[in-house]
Amino acid sequence: MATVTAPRQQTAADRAAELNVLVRKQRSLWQDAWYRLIRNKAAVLGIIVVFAFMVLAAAVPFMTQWGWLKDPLKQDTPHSLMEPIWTGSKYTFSAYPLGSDQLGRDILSRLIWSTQISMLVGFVPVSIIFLMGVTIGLTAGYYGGWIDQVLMRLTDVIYAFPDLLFLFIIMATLRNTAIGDLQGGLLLIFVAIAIVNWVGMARLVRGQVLALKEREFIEAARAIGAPARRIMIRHLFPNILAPVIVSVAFQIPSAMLAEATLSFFGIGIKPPTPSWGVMINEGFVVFSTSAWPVLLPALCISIVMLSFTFLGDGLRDALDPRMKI
Amino acid sequence: MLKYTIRRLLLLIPTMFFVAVIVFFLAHAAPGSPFDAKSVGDKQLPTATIERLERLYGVNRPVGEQFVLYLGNVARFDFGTSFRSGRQVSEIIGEEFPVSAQLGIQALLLALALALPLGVVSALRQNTAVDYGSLFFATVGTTIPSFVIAIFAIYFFGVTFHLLPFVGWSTPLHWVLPTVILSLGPMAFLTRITRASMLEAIRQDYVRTARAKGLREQVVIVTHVMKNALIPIATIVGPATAGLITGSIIIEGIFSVPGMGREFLRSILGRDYPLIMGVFLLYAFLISVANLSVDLVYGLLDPRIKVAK
Amino acid sequence: MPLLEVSDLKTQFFTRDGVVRAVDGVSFHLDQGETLGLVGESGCGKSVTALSLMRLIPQPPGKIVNGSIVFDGQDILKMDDDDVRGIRGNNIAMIFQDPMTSLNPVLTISRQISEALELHLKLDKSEARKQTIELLELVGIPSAKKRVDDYPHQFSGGMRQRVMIAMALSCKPKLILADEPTTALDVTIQAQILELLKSLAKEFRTAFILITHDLGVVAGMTQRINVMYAGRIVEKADTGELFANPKMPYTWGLLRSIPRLDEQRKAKLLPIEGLPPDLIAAPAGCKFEPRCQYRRDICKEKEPELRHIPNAKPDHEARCWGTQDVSGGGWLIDTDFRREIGDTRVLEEIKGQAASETTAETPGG
Repeated sequence: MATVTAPRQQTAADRAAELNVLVRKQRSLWQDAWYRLIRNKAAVLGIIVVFAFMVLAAAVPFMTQWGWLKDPLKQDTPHSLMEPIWTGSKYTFSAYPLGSDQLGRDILSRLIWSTQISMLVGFVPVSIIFLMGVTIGLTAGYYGGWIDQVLMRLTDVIYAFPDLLFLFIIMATLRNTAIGDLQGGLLLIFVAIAIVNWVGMARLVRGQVLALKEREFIEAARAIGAPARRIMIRHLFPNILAPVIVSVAFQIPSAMLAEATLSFFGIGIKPPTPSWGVMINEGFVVFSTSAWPVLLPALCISIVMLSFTFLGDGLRDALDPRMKI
Repeated sequence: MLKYTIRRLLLLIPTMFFVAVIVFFLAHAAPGSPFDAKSVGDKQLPTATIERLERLYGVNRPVGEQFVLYLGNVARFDFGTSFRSGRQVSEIIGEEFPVSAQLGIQALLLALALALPLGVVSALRQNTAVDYGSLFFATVGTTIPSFVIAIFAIYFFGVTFHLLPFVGWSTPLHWVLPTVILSLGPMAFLTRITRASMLEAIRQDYVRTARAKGLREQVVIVTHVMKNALIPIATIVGPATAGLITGSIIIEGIFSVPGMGREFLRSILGRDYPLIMGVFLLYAFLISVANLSVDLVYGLLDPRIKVAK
Repeated sequence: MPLLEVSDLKTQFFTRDGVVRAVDGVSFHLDQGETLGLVGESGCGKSVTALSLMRLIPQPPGKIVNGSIVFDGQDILKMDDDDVRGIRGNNIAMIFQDPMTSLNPVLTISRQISEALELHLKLDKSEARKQTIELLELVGIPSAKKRVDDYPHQFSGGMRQRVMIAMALSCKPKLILADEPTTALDVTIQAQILELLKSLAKEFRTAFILITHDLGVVAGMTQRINVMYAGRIVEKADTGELFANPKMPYTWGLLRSIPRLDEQRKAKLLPIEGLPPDLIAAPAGCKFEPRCQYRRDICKEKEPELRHIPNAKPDHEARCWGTQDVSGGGWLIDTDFRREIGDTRVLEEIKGQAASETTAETPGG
C-alpha cells in the first residue's frame, strides 16, 4: 500500500459553511415570483407601456397648467378633419399633429385627456371591487352560514346577467338622473362597473378561503387562540392574493373596454368629455371621409389593453407557473 | 341525472324572479316618461296624449303595483305590449330571437371549427411559429374591442372594396361579416383554452404510460390525450354563450341585424318597459341554462363525476 | 449472454440553467430471470436510467448522449423509432410509481390493458378481452369479469397498482422495470404487491429491475443491488453481500439511517448530513465527498472509479478511495462497517465479550 492521504482537519464552522454551499440560494415566494415576472419580456413591455400611460394620465393637470396641452373641447370648424402631419397630404395643419375631428378639435389633446379618463375608469372601480370583493369573500368564506348563503344567491342572480347587459341597463336608465350627472357621468360608470363585477371577485376569494380553511396552518393559528380577524388578515389574506392579483390585472382592461363600449353606444361618458370610446363613437359618423378619428383612439385602446393582457399573463405565470392557461 | 337537471332548472325560477325585480325597478328608475319624445327621437306628442297613454299602459301607477301586475301577466304568459310599436312583446321576440339565435350558432360553430384544431396543433407544436402565431391571434382577438374590428371590416370589405354587404340580414352574403366578427372573440378565447387544456393533458403521467406500451404517438394523442383535454373545453362552451350574447348586441347594433340584440339597445334607450323586461328575462334564462350546462356536460363526459344526490 | 448489457450510459437534460447530467456513465448487466435492485435517493438518476432503457426520455429537453443498451443482442439506442415502439410494452414493460396518475381516468381498465395486447400480439377485441380478464385474475383482482369495464377511479390504490402490473405483464415481456412500485401505497399493501411481483417473477421467469429508495424493499426481492448516487453507480454487490459487507460510506450512511425496532431507546436517528449535489455544477472529485465523514484531500481532487475492493466477494465493486486498494487510498479497507454505523447490539456484544475476557471474533469482515 502506497501513501495514504492524511485525514482532513476542519473546524465545525467551516464544515457548516461548506454544507450550506450545496443548497441553492433561498428566495421568498414573492421574490421568486418577481424574478419570474422580470424574465418575461412581454410582461416587462406591458409594465413599461402601462406605466407610461399612467404617467401621461397623471401629468394632464400639469400639462394644462404649463400650456403644453391644448383645450380638447375647443372647436375649430374651419380646420375640421385635418389629417395627422406625417401623412403629407394637403389636409394637415401644424397645430394639430395628429389631426382634428369633425368639429375641429385637436385629436392629440383629446387622446391625452382620454388617457386620464381611461386610467380612472380602469383603476377606481377595480379598487372598489378589490376592497368589497376581498372583504366580503373572506368573511363569507371564513364564517360560512347566512352570509355565505346570501352571497351565493346574489352571485347566482348576477351571473344570470351578462356583465355588459347589466352595465348597459344601469347606464341607460340612470344616466339622466342625479347620480349620472356627477363628474360628467364618471361616478355612475365607476359605481356601475363595481356593482357588476364585485361578485365575481368575492366568489373567487370565497373559493380560495374554503380551500385554505382546512389547511393545517389555519388550524394551528386557531389552536393558539388567534381571533378570527387576525386569521383572516394575517393568514388567509396573503395566501389568496395570487389569483386575486391576476384577476385584478385582467379586470382593469376589462373595465376600460366596458367604458369604451358604453361610450361607443352613447351611454357611457357624456360628451363633450373625451374618452376613447366617445371619440370612436363620434368618429364613426365620418368614417368614410377620414378614418383617423376612429383609428387613433382605437389604436390607443388596443395598445393599452394589449399591455395589460401581457402584464396579466406574466403575473399569472409568475405567481403560479402551474396555471398554464 | 334527470332529477338533478330538473332540480337545477326549478332553482332557476327564484333567480329569474330576482332578475325581474332588479331590471323592472331599474328600468322604472329612469327619469321621464316612456312616451316622452325627447328620449325616443320621434315627434313630441302633446302632453294630454302622453298622459292618456300613460294611463292606458298603467305607467302612472306606483312602481310596486305595476310590478305585481306584470308578474301576474307573466304567470299567464302575457308579456305585455311594446310601447313603441304596439305589438305583443312575445310576437316581437318570436320574430327576432331566431335571427339572433342563427347568428349566435353560426358564430359559435365557426369559432369551434377553427379554434379546436388551432389549439391542438398549437399545443403539439409548442414554441414554434404556429404556436406563436395562434397565441398572437388569441391575444389580439381578446384584446381589440369587437366594435373596432367591426368598423375596420366594414371599411375594407364594405366601403372600399364593396365585397360584402354590411347592413341588414337579407341574404346569406349579409350573414358573413356579422358572423365572422362575432366569432372572433370566442374563437380567440377557445383557442387559448384548447391549447392550455392540451398542454395540461400531455404532461400527465398516463401519457407516459401509454407511450411505454409502445403505442404510436398519433394514437397516444388522439385516444389518450384529446379525450381528457376536450372535457374542460366542452364545459366552457356553455358559459361562452354569455360572451356571444353580449357580442351579438354590439354586432347587431353595428350591422343593423334585426335581432334581439338590436332590439335590446333600442328598448333600453326608448324606455319600452315591457320589451326591456321580455328581452332581459329571455337573456337571463338562456345564460342560466348555459351556466347549468357546465355541470351537466361534465357529468356526461367525465366518468369520475357522478352528478348525483 | 446477459439479457441486458448497459455500457457507459449518459443521459442529460438541457435546461435554461445549464446541462443536468442526470445519468453520468452507468454500466451494468442483467441476466435472464434475474431481479436487480437500483437503489438511491431521490434525484440520483435511477428513474432516468430506467426511462432511458425504454427511450422514454422527453426530447427536448432530454437526450441520451452516450452509451449502448444491448437488449437481447440488439442495441436499443441504435434502433429506429418503430422498432423501439415494438419493444415497449412487448419485450420490455414498465410499472410506474403512482397508480393514481399513471392510469388514464377516462378509459376503462379493459381498454387500457387490451391496447397493448391488440397492438403487439395482434389479438382481436374479444380475444384481448378474454386475456385481459385472465390477467386481472392473475394479479389478484376479485370479480375480474365484472370489474374489467370499470374506470381507474373505481379501484383502490393497491388494486390500481395490480392493474398496472397486469398491464405490464400482458405481453409476457422478458424484462419489467418497476419504478418505485410500492412507494405510493400503504405498508400492508406494499407487502402484498411485492409478494405478487416475486411470485410472477418466478412463474414467468421475467427479469426485473426494481427501482427504489427503500432498502427494506430490495432486501427481500433482489439477487443483486446497484447503489446510485448523483447519476453514477457507487456500489455493486450481491444483495446479501451488500447488507453484510458494504464498502462505501454512502451505503453505510443509508444503512445507518434506517430506524430499527431493536434500537435502544433514546438512540439518535443518524441521517446523512447535507444534500445531494447540484447535477448541473457537480463538484469535481467524488460526488459524495462533501457529505462524507471519512473524506480526505484526494476525494476532493479526483473522482474514484468503480473498482473491485479487497475484503469482499469477487463481484463486489465500490467507488471509494477509502475502500479501494490503490495508491493514495485504502484508509477504510480494514474498517468494520458495523462499528462505523454504530450498531449498538454489536458494540454491546463486543463489550460483553471483552468483559468476560474471552477473545471475541470480530463479526463480519
